[in-house]
Amino acid sequence: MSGFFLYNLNNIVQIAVLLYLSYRNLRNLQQKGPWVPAVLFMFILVTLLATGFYWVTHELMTGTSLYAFSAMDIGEIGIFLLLSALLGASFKEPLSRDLPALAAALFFAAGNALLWGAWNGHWAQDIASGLFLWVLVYTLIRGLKRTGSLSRPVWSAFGIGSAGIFALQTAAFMTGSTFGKIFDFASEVIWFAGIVYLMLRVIRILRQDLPDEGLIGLACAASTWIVCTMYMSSNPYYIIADLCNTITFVLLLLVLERKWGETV
Amino acid sequence: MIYSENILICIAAPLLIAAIFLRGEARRFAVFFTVGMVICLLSAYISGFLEFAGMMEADKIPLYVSPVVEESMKVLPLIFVLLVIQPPEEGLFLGSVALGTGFATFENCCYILTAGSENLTYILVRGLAVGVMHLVCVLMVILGTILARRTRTFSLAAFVGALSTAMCYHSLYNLLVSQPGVTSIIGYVMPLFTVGVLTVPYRRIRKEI
Repeated sequence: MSGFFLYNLNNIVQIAVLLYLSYRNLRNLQQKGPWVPAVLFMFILVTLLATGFYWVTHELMTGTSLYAFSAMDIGEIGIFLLLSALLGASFKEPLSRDLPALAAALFFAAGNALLWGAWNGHWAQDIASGLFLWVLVYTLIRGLKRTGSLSRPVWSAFGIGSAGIFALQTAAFMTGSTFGKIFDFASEVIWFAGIVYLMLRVIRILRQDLPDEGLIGLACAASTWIVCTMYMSSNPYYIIADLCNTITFVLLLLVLERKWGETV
Repeated sequence: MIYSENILICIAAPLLIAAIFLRGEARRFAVFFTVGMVICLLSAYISGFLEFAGMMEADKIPLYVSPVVEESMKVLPLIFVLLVIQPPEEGLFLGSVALGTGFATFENCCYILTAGSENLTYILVRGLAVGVMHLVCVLMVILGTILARRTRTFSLAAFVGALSTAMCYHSLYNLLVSQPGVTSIIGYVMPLFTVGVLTVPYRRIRKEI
């Protein structure tokens, strides 16, 4: 039993944090202010809680691997969509169509989905997740472009970084053991560099109270980048990314509370 | 073996006749309640077919297939009403509550006829846990629908996202109660606890509409 708890410690910590965030979000909902983002965030938290709890319970009760399109997969797709809706709801004017953004999002989502499929062999569910990731990334790119939250060099760095990750992961998949580990480690460095940049950016804006309309977009981008890191990583990188994901949801709540304060 | 279709006819007939004499919200409630029961029967047919077709082992059907089938089926009448009648949000709430209650009632009737009604604990669990769980899931979807109306451009994302949340929640419930012990007790308490949580956004939205 103690082994089980150690193995699932990150999940248990995440559930505890999410329960607190849900309580705080509910308290916010009782007050005046924009209720649409708060309810959308509540849905995200409930889905995260349900999937986290499902995973721990499934491990505890059966110890077997999950079937394709289990509650975990459905929940992950749901989170992609709810994050898109949350981001879309934060803009007064609807986001306009943007072909380059659509192509860039397709490149990112397809690259991820193909590599997930290659690594785990669950092609159907990975392609389905990839399609919904495409929706989210397309919304994120348009939102961040509108608010101008990322400078041109940063956009380029993320583009080159993504291409680099796909190349390194493909090389790791093809070469196998010794070289594969080196390529895998190199791709993890790029993933975590992206995580650190996005999280520090959100924390900096929050702490120094800097104006930024795209704060929700940055927090959602951090969460999306972390989820993609998790899907393409094994332990211990997976656990570290999962803990970063928990922190990102704390940041997302703080971002929403700040927005909330501006509106009231 | 029970004949679910006969049970449905027996319960639905007086309700439908009563609907002729009812007006406004009461009639809407009676109709949606009956639709909820029909949906329950159709969901059982689909899940049964998938089990018969050998898609999955029988014990895995409630964990993987039933939540997806049942939640998708519950959404269909709501989509139809949204597209054809376009009712106000208050009407949507009423319809969804009636639909969820009808679904849960019919499922409970069939289970009680199969397993008997002597054990009060079992009856309480059926009523307060499974019954309320179906209601909670429909309420989640309807909250998502209202959000979808408000977010406009991201309406599909909000709607399908909320539906995924309901499916996830339903799967978790089915997993928790699939084996006796502490997990099943958590599962039985979960729907009532969630009702308490859902009252907060519900009250807030009621103020706005």
